[in-house]
Amino acid sequence: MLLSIVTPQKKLIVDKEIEEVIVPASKGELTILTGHAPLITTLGIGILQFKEKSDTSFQRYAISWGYCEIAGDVIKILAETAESAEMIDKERAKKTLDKSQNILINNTELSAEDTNKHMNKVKKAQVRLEL
Amino acid sequence: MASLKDIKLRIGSVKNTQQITKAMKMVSAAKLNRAQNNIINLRPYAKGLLGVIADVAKTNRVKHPLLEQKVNPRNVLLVVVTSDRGLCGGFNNNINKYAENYYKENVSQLDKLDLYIVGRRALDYFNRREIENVGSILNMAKDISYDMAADVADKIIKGFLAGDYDEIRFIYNEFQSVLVQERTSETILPIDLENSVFTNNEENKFSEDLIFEPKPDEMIEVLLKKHFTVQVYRILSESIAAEHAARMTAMDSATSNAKDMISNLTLTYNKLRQAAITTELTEICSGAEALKG
Repeated sequence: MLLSIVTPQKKLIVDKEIEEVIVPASKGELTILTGHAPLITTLGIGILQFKEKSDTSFQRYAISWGYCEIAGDVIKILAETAESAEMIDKERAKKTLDKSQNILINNTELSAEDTNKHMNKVKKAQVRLEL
Repeated sequence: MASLKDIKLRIGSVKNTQQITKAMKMVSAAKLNRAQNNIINLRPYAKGLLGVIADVAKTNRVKHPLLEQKVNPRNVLLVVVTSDRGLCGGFNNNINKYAENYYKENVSQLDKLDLYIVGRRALDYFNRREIENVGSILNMAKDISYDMAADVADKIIKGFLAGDYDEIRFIYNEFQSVLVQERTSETILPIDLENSVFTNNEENKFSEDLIFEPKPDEMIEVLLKKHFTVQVYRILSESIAAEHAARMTAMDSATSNAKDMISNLTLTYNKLRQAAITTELTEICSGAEALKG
């Protein structure tokens, strides 16, 4: 299978030959192997992992919103952000996490929209730290 | 006539200015390079997104408020994109004048025409003319990020979906080349799929039994919103690239003007100096002659 990952900043991965990929689809994790049915799905905040044929372990990327398109043997992933462990500024993630958590805990009268925004921030930071 | 000392001072000050303009040109060139890369890097993403929107829309004939074309828009939001800093030729003035004209021509015919302003130059311009705006963003050139564009896009799209506006129009400088920045006025919302998607879609690799998760009509909303965000990001990046290109050209001509000025002044200086020496010599000679006699 060929995998490409594209973000607004750059083409991260172009047509890489892989064996297996696990994506954080909007309704839960989804493992894609060769011969998967054609599918378009949106992706949530989570960890994307894939394995090359020769590798024993997965390569992991933290991604936020995106979508995944499977057609035949080609998998195209568009993600708003996709970062590997080396690209992540853990301290900044920790700071964002604390800040957003504080806002969520201390403000009882947050609008639904703001709550959502900070929830997403918390989730993103958690994923970043987890990687 | 200026004295020798005056001219010397003048040459010095022009030289200083030349150094500054030269430095500014160099800085702009470096920044332009980065901004250009931004635009180029965005293209695959934008193209992929449009492609999938086309696939979803075509196979399912979805309808969405973001796609509905209005024949006669009554409520328009005008987004004016300029820069924070000057010294870039006609870059900001072009936009401001055009936007002001557009505003004056249309404000009486429409029910509502609001301004949303990007960049200090436009903000000052419209404040001076006492034309109100509904929002503004400043200090964007420093570091334009996708996140920032997403915030802006979010604010704008909310107004659209709530029914406050039925057309969102952007006025900005499009980056065409280092020498050419084209003033562009473009309707971004509602999204016109006919023009952007269906005409240039050569391949149709999808079968009808494609699985969608979530449902196509839920999905299209997210996709369209993201598409709008990408458009906003693209426009901001284009404007920044155009700004640097304009500044580079302006500073380049400023530098060469300074060079001309210096050579003119140096010529005058040398002529004056020679004249002074000649006069002095004549004076000495005639003085000596007078003493002899």
